[in-house]
Amino acid sequence: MIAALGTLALVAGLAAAIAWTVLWLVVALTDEGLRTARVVTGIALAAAVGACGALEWALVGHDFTIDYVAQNGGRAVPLYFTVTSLWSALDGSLLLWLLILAVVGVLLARGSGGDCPRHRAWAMVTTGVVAVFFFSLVYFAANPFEPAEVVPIDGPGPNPLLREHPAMGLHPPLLYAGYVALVVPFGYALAALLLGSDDDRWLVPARRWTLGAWSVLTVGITLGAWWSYAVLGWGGYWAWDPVENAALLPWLTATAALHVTMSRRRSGVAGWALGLFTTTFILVLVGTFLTRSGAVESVHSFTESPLGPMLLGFVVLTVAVVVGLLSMRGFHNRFADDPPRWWSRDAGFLYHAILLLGVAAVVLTGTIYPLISELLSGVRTSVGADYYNRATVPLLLAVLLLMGVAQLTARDGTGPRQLARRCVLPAAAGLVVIIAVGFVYRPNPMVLTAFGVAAFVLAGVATVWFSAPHRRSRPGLIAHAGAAIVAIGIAASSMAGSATLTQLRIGQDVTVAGVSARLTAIERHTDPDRMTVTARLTLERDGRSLGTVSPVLHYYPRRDTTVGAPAIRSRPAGDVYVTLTRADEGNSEASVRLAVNPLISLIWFGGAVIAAGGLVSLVSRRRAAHSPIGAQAADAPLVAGAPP
Amino acid sequence: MSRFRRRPRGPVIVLGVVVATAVALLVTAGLQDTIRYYRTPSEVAQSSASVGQSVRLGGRVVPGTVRHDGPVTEFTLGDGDSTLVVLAPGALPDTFREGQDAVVEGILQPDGTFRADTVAVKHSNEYRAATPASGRTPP
Repeated sequence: MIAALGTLALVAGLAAAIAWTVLWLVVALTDEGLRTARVVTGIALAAAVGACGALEWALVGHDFTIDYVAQNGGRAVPLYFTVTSLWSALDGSLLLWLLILAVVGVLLARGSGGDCPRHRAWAMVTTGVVAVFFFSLVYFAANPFEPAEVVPIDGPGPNPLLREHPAMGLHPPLLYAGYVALVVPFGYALAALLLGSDDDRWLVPARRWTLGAWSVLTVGITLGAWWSYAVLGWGGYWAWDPVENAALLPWLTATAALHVTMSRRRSGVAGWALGLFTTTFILVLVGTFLTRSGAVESVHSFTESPLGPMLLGFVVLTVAVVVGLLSMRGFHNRFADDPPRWWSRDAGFLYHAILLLGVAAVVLTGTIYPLISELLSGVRTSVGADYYNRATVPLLLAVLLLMGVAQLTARDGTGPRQLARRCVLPAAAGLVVIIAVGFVYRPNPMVLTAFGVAAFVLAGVATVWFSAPHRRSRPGLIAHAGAAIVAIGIAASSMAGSATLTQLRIGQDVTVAGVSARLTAIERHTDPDRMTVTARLTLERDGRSLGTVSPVLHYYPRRDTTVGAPAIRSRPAGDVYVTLTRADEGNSEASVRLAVNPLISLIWFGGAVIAAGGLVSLVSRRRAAHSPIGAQAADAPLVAGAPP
Repeated sequence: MSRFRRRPRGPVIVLGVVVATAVALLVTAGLQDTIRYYRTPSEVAQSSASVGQSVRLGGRVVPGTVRHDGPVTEFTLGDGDSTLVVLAPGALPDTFREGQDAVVEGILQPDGTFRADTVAVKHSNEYRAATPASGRTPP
């Protein structure tokens, strides 16, 4: 019954998405039928809500006649994690994709389309085509409402790793929201290519959408890193896993797009913006293909379901459309009459974009290298985290340095000498930090550089923040401060990185970086669907107690799987991170990994600050748009204001 | 092509070339010894080409073969056709279980055993949200 309703919702959604595309095409060509087109977009959203609702209903009601529920549901699973099971496996997560895409469509369809209704209509056509594709993908290749072959009495529950942490309810939806909303700037870019006029007003809504999507994606990626740190218990937060890279790649190019579109003369950078918006969404599709098709596991596994070929086909189609349109219309970066001077802020935006594209190229190469090498030579390989650390860190440091200099430049006007003068104070701050950290901790050169450059950026933020009469540059400064904070967190936590894995008997202790942990008890506990081993340890530093921690191991008999959950004691100076890796049968001995990660929480804090910068910019620009100053002539800056 | 009549973007082009070169260098240098070849026990059995190489080996932990021997844990990985003895440092975590799929990374020794520096447990092939190789253990 529910299965039939869910499938019906998918069919209705597919039909509505087709109608959405056609009707918005009519709007784009004739300027008529706007109201009907909007209604149909709303129907597509209703269908997506219906499909998600049906699956949630089945999950919460433990309807094991549906295969997805039989695979991922379980009677003993807490309600919260039953609800999040919607996106804890492939088929359901694609439903979430659809739901967010439909929400994005409805939001984009609101209103009259502002200054560029035809661009908006074409963007809706593009979004509609993507919606048609994803509705067909779910319906034909990954229908979560397929009946179960054997109806079990109880299900195994979701993947145990995905029910250990409350972030599971936030991280995937936010990540998807940021990811999927990037379709809108892509739609505007295609519209600009199709319409081909010199009208660059489309860059304003495209940038606003990018800003919103990027902010949400930033939160999603940061939560993902935190989740990885707090659940997986391997002590790190970023493994350069294909799933992580898939989220990072569009984030990098979207960051570049956000900077380029801040240029004083937006007509001068329309070509750059086109290239970056389209690249960003192509990377979204490539990432979806890599992570949802099994292609990363092995080139040969991805044809096992029609999902892989369908996604690959859509990627190829999108690239073909973009390349075709670009070669028809050509790039037009019309800087010809009034080129930006090389030390100006406008030029800085372009340098920044180039560097970020460089980072993206490094990450993309590492991510698809195993695929290419298997295709060409049949040899299966994997690229280790060392590759990424080695190859991206120098580039990221260059990005940070450029960020620090660029925020001190004026829009135009000032000469290199004035810029050099502005750099003096922040550079001095950076040098002081390098000398101080270098003397006290003697870290490796990369880490030391990171500290210095981060201090340079933060000092620059402070000088501009307080000296500039233009408050509107502050969102960007907030984001820069966030990036510097993240850099400090990464550098500091990689520097000490002290950890040890030891076997402890009850009463024994182990010490790492001044923190000692004493094993006081091992307890076992049985729940209806899992068994838990808990180790109790008391922490101490210099004779002062830091309280007790209880890392656990959960065994899930229905999945015959054991997963661990670390215990983390966060303090401002750093985290004490304790993982239980094994406990003997007699409850007298346990293997414990004790790690001290200095300043690691700065990474999550800095990520939140970056996202806050984006959101502040979104809100303050909205306010500016309603004021007479914001509604300036066509060639007004996309982001008002900057230091003098 | 009137669009390209002037090239005022000199510094942008220069930086583009510099970054492209840097990326090429970083990628090739970075890939030098970070690539791990993925092999199955059968592939290892068929050729000795991977001896001494850094290899990622995937297979199923043969039940009844896990032995703790002081600082070393020994177990056998199989893929249905062939098996291979793996030596891993330290006691393995409880997330590591007999009969389950595991991926080990390390170097194949001339004597035919495999010296692992990391042991990762494969929970399932399912979608894992932003999850690095699950059950990773510290080396």
